[in-house]
Amino acid sequence: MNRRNDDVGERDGWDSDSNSEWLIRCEQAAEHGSRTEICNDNEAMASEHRRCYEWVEALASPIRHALTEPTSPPMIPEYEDLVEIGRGGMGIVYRGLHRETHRVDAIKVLRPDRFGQHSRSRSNASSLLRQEAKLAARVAHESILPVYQVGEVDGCTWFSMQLVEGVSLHDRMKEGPLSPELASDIMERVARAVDAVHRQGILHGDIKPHNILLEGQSRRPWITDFGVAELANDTSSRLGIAGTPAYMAPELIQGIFPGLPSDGKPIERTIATDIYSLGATLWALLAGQSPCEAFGVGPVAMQRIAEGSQPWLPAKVVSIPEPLLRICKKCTALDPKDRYASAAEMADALSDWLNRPRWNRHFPRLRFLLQVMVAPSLLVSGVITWWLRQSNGAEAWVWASLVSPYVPLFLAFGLSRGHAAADVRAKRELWSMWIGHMLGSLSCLISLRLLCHPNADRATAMAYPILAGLSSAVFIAKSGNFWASYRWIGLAWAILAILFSLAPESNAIGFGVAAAITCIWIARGDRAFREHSSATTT
Amino acid sequence: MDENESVIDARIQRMRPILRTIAEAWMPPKLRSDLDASDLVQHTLLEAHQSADLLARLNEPQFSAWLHTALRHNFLDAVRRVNVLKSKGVGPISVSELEDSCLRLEELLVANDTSPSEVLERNEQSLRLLEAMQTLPERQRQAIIQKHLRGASLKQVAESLEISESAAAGLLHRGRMALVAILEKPES
Repeated sequence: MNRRNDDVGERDGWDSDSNSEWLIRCEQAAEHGSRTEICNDNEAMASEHRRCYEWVEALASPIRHALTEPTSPPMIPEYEDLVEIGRGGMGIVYRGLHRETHRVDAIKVLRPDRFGQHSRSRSNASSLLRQEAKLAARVAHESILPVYQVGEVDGCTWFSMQLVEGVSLHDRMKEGPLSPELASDIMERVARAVDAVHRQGILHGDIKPHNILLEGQSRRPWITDFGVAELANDTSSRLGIAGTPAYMAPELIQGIFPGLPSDGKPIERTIATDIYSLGATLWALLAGQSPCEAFGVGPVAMQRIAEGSQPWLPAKVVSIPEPLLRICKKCTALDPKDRYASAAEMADALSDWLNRPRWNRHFPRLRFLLQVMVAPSLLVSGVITWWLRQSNGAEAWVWASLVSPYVPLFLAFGLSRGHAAADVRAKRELWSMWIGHMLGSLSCLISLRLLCHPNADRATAMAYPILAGLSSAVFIAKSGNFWASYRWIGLAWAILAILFSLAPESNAIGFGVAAAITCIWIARGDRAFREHSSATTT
Repeated sequence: MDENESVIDARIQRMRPILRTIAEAWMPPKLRSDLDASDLVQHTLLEAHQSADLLARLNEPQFSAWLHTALRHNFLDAVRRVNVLKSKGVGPISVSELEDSCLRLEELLVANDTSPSEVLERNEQSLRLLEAMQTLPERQRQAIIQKHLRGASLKQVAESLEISESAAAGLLHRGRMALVAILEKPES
């Protein structure tokens, strides 16, 4: 046998005859995980051997694991035809046919190659896998995979759940950023599922695109992997700081970098940490890259996130609508108190954005009509009514002139309704408000005319403050769900209502001018009319 | 050479020992006499230099992914060539199996955001381990790769290197001590 220089260890004495047998025993003991009993005849050297072995093994095992070929599936009595479909840090997921029901399920089995046959870590991992099954089974929601069965085979825990044929959002992101509509739709449903998880007193702890499956054509999202989930306020939790750094809240990252100030508060997972992960996931879908890809993966980037000094800017040039960027920022606020109080609140915000009025899309000419037809007709109507009243014109003409601008306004709205099915909540609300405004105005005008009979001029003089007051009510009501500036328009109309009462002779012109300005202000300012130019390029 | 070129050259050169360890770990013992890991790495780095403009625009994970993919293609090409040349003698080397292994390794090194929190340090440490292995003497390195990267037992290591078990145990222990000494030093 050819022995080379580095085969013998005379220089350090480790390979002398007296030590060679001992070294073999140490090596074999390390392989079988029973080092202490065998190697205690030379504790110092044994300790050094053990330390070096564990050092190298700890670093090498994930690499070896990465090189490992797929392991043969376990023999689970309840299932047949097991085929590996994925593997994670703790378990391997198989597709298998249930013998009794002939249903095809997904079966997650503890990784035998990662946790040794007799190691303590296997029993810990087994209990974590059982915990995962138990927690996932507690939540009944259309986007949470139902767990069917838990068992054990060859000392490895397994559980079966519904099989979903689809891709993870992480894989989907490789094709590029998701459209804002699709990303919001998915994340709204995910946020509602996470809210259901929270209402069961459970924290998921690892929301990220990898753990959300998108089912085939239906595009229904499924939350998977409750591997690091735990009960909120579970003081017996053995997980510590778990999760994925790229999607982990700053207060948890502070736990990885003990040097960072944590204000002396205990570092623990909360609903707010899950909401941070939801926001980071939404951002990743919109940006088409994970925060790690955008900010880097090193400790410096993580430290910046922990300190809140990392701007959320994607590395690629992508277009993220401003309202969605605001939702992401609210979710990922440094202070947990500044985030949404619940995942349901985030879902509501996304739902509002999805249901926003998009007049440019549904009725592209509405903006044009408001500026070119409605605003001038309001102005002309005001002038003509004022002139008719000044020149004692026939009453019928005064009323016709007063009401005439409502015709193009409601014609425009009527046409817009015809262009879009009434399936958007915002559209229905808007329509109801203006119908209410029209009916209210007409009934007030008729009532006024009857009350003031036979003084027609007094009735027309009183009409404008009432029309202004009704407009104020409509705009204030709209400000809640639409453009925030409607509240200022509403306030202005309330003031005008009073002013019109003080100057009844000229209120027709005042009304016409104010109404025309309002139309142009809305057409130019309301985001619903500027949808295509509202995306923020970052 | 301008500054950008020297930066990209330094990044490429830093990957040399890492890629060589990976190539050696991929190498089945029966192919070791037919394939030279250093040739594969040299060829890969040459391609990297030719694509320096592209690589300069990539971030670290993308950069690693590019190099690993190039090495994988070169490795699989080489395996195919050997299979053709020695179709009767080499026995079945499944290219798909090797490809699968390569992909998994890439996942480990590139997918920085897929694992629990320890992954922050782990990837860098894994790269340092692969790098440090190239500083070991040839036989120690082979023993360590067999044992810790291919999961061989002491007996299998001894058989693979055609030495006694006690010699293999000595090689392994000295190799590990050297690696720990390197890895415990703060990174320069």
